[in-house]
Amino acid sequence: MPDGQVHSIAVVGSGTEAWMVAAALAVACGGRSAIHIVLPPADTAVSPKRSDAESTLPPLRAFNKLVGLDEDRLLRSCAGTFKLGTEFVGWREGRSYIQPCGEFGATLGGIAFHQHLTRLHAAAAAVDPELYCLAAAAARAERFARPGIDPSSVESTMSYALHLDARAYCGELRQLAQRHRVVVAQGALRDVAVAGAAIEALILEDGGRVTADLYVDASGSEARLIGQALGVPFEDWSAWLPCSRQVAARCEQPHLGAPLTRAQAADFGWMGHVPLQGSIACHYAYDPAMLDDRAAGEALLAWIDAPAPTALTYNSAPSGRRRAPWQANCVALGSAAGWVEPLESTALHLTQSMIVRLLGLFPSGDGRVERLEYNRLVGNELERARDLAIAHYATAQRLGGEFWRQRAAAGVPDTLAYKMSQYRSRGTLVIYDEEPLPEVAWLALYLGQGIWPQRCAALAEVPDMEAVRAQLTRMRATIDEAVARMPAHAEYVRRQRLQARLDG
Amino acid sequence: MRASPRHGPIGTVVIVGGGTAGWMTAAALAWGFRGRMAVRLIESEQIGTVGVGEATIPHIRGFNERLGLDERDFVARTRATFKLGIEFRGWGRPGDSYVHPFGAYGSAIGGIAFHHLWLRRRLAGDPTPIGDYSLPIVAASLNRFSPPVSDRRSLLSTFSYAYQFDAGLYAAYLREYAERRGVVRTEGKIVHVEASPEGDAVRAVKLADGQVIRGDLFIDCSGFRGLLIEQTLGAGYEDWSHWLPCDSAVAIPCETAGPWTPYTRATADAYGWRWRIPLQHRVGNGYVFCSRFLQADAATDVLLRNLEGRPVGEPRVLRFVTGKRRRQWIGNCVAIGLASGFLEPLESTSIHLIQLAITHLLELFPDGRWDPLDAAEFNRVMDIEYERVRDFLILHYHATERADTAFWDHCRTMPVPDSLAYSLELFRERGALAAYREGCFLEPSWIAVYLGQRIVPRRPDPLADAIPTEHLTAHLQALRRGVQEAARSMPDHRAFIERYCRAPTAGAAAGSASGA
Repeated sequence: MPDGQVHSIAVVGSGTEAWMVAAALAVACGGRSAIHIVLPPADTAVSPKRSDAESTLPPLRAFNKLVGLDEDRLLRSCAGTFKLGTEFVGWREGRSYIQPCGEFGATLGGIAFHQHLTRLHAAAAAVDPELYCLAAAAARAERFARPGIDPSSVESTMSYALHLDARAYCGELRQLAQRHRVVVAQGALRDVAVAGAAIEALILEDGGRVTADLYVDASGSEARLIGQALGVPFEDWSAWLPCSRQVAARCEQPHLGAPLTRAQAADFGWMGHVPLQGSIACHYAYDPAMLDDRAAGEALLAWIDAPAPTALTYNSAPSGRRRAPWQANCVALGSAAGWVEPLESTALHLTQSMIVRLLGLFPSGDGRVERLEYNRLVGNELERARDLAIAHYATAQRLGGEFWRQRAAAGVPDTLAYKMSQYRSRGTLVIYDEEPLPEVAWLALYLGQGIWPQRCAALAEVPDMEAVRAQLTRMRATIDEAVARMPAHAEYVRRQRLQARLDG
Repeated sequence: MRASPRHGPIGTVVIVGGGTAGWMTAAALAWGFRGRMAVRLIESEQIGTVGVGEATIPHIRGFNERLGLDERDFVARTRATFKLGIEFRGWGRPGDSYVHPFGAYGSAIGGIAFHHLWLRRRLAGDPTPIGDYSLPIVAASLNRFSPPVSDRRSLLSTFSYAYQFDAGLYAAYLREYAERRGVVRTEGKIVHVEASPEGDAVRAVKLADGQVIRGDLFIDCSGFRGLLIEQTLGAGYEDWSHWLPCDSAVAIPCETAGPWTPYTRATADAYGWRWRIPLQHRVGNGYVFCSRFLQADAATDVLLRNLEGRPVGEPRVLRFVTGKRRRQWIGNCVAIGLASGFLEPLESTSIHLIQLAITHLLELFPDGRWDPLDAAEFNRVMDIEYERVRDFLILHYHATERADTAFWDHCRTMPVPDSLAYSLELFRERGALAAYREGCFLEPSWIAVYLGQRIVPRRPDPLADAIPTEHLTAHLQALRRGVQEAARSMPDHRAFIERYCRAPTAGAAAGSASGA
């Protein structure tokens, strides 16, 4: 780049992560930079790699909008369903809770809602936080409707995300990227030519070379460029997050139930359950040191209580991060930069965040400050995602098993220990810079696991308790009414399809 | 109502010192706890208050609203005017001027931040200042004001506002509020502080008349000296004067000669800067300077020479050391206001830092178990807030081309904190803003100061080039026109106040200079 500008970009990867970044770059560059996609070997067929189904978070809708993917179209082409949260099952023996895409209650008298709940709980009242959360209440009732935008309505207290067939979503991104003139290289990646700390060229199976001003490593945990070629070290977090292996299967399910992803604690990890139109995608994330693939596959099949599962597919992704995800002319994003086992549906979310950061820091010149800032932000965000995932294990209350005993003994990072101590003391939710998830994710986890602060905030002791109870009763009624106005999730999805047919 | 049996309540809170910090704290405690604990405030009329903050930032409205103050009443009682930003004169170079607005500039296109769009046009030769795309800046330049509307689609919703008021009157106003709600004021001078045997807590204070006042929680609002936090508990002081070398100020109000500007002015001078804060009944003036280079008498001369109207009262000189206590909460003692630290009022943050401390204290309010985590979290967040404001202030001094005095040579060439050096380089190189969650100054504030003080990014966002030029110029033109129209639709600032909330006795109270 003689003028200091990036004129060409080569993206290495073949999964959803790669096509997300290719599409976003193509749209943002508006044709000013040539973008090549270079596929790693054995991946000449486009595949979403990691997952069979994507359980996403609400911000992905903004990403889709940014690149120009229509949500209604995605719902059709990707067998999409709606998501109002994740149901965590069995993280406390025999219990389940929902981590919602939405708020619990509302601030009363300038005091956070959970402080009032804590006070009632301390007064020996039976308190079910989900009754005050529209997203959770609707999800429990298996109902859904897109929330309105009126900020004074109860509906505005909830958001939503999508469940998408991973292969189809990847295909949509690919089509879009290619419409924006992203070119797939002829031939897979064979080797990487390195000069000093930088990438010189990508060498293809047929001996052809692809050179670019900027190389994007979106090759997943293999980290073909940043790891294998440039040797940037990987900081391994598996002492805290050992479920690096995953087995997945799909089974038919004509009945569409709750708009929820499910994450159920299992003997050697946890099982995920993502509802799509007509099917359910299931997986088991487990600790490969404690469970072999065959046994994991059998456990998954035993868990799936439905006919005709597809063949089992396996893959690995250890939790951890690259020390410097952007080095010289190579920027890694997605799981090439870092990975946290996706208890919190952070897979595409972290990728999206890194893409947004790359666009915000798109390099020119020597790109030095861009690299520094990208690495700082991405590193912090991955650590915050790590802490939240670890918090699930750290607060788990399981009856037994070696895996869970080890989890309990693993300890937590200082940042997380401080956070949890502040919550336990008086319900203070400490939020650091670059948290990938909102405060409510932490609150749902604590409340769901039955962890109550030792006391409520002193201010919350002041209002008349009966008046607070009365307000809570009204709040619950408002939420019940709003839930009753919503159609069943399955019905809403059916109507969407019908509407599409009428429009289309 | 019975207290929860699981912990002991705080029976008595003793606030040491009145002034803005003391009375804001007293009012907030009276509001928050509604008489569930005894709140006592000890102040001495012999000890004057400093009240450096007369100008505020928009967060103050949240504080007033929480207390349930009526805005009209508050504005009338404190002889307040409205504030859309701060005009900085002569900071980048002598003769320069820019406004730090309470609101954003323009709007983004396809995720490209507005200042990069502006920068692209600037590099292409378009001389339009970025301020032309900010409604509060344009409104301020026309001396117009009306509050923002709630309809998010309207340009008239794209700004915020604060107040310029008489801090002495504000303290008096809050005193009335607090006393009405049961706060007990004791007049008297503290002659002795009784600490715990271990020296880690305050037990009681003794007044000159022999009265001993005990308490469970002590709030140190005693000002610079930190009677409890420093003199009794030995918090220690982090001295930042190598970065912010001004250590003195001289202040004097004067009669209003010009229009009631809806903004504060901070004019860089040879050895510091001068403030101008317009109130309804007078104008507050001061010169913050560095005594290593300038004697107080000379500073006073400069200040008096630059007054727009007849001076009211006598000039008062203050000395300070910029920095903060190493720990602002120790044991059962929380320092608020000048007892917790000092940052010059260049960005009107004095009252804001008081407000932040109060907000955090209310949220982390201790109970009888004295969990050390209460103080730990308070100190953690207050440290962050102080450091963020500190960096922002240093930026004003450091980002300059002034070379007219040894003072400015020092500021221009001094090493700055790593955190600021990093942010500065990121903007200088790439126009990117180091995003932090904490801190009261958001991106538009940093952009205002960077660009206003001639830090123009070397390399603008390359993705801004992807936007077609016609699209970009049309976008900017429409914005500029919209801002002009919206600003001109607002009433004159003074006319607005006179209609809405004029002080009933304004003009007749020139003697009230105590809050300077």
